[in-house]
Amino acid sequence: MSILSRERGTSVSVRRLTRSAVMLATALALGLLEGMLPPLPAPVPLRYGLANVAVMATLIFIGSLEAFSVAFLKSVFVFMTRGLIAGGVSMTGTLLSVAAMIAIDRFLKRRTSVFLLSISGAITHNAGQMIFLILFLQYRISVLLVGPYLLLFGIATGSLSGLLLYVMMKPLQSFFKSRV
Amino acid sequence: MKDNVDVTRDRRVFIRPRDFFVLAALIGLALILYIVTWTTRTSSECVAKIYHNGQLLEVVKLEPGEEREFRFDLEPSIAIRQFADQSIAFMSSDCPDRVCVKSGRIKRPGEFAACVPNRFLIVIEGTAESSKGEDVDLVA
Repeated sequence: MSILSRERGTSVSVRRLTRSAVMLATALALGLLEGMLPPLPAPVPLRYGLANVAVMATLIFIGSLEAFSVAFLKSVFVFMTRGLIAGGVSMTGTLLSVAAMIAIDRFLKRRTSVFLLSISGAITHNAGQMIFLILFLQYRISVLLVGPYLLLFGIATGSLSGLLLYVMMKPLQSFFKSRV
Repeated sequence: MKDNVDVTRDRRVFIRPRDFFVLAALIGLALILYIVTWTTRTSSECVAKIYHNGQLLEVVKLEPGEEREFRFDLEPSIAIRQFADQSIAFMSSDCPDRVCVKSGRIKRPGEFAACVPNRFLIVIEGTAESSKGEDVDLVA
C-alpha cells in the first residue's frame, strides 16, 4: 500500500495506518449515530454529515490520501450494510466532498479555516448525493430548485460539523501527538 | 524519531474574515436561485407527475375540489393523496425515515416530494405557459 511505502520508518507508517484505521472506525460510529438521529425536515434526503468530522480530522492531522481512504471505505461499509442505493448515494456524496475538501485545502496551502473546510465539504456532499439521484435514479428534479436547499442546508450542517471538529481539536491534537 | 504527523492546530482557526465573503456569496447565490425559481412559478393549472424508478406512473391533474387517493400494486405501502386545495402528498410509506411523508403537501410547479428507498417521486409541473423552468432539468 502506498500508505506504507510513502515513508521509510516502519513504526511511523504503522502508526499512520493505525491512526487512519481509528479515524475510519470513528467515521463509521458517527455514521451509525447519524442514522439514529431524526431526519432533517427537507424535501430531499439530506444528512447531518457527522461522519465528515472524522474525515476532516484525518485530512488535517494525517493527510489527503488517508482522508480519501477513510471516506471511500466508509462508503464501502454503507454499501455492505445498507444496500446499493444507500451505498451509491453515500459514495458519490462522500467522494465529491472529500475531493473538494482536499482541493480547497491544497489551494489555500493548508491554511483553510475549519469553517470553510466544513461547509465546502457539506455542500459538495449534498450536491454529490443529488447528482446520484438525478443521474442514476433518474429523478426529474430541477437543479435550480434544489440549489438553494443544498446551499443553505450545507451551510447549516457544515457549520455544525465544523464546530464539533473545532471543539475536538485539542483532544485530537494530543491524540495525534502521542507516541502510542 | 521524528513523527511525520502534521499537527497543524496552530494554523487552523475556526473562521477567517475572508470566509464571511464566501458565506455571503453562497447565501446570495441561494437567494438568487430561490428568487429565480419563485418568479418562474405561476400557479395556475398544474399536474402532479408520479414517477417510480424514473418511469412515469400517473399524471394527476390538480383541480380544485378534487380529492383522490392513489395506491400502486408495485409498492402497496405507498399511499398518495390528492387534496381539494390543489395539493398532493405522500400519506404513508414503509421507508425508515419517512422523509416523503414529512415533506407534506406540495402544490406549486417545481415542488417535489421523494421517497428514495421506494424510488417514488412526485413532481408538480405547470402546464402551458407556467413551465418555463423546464429547460434547466439535468435529465432530458
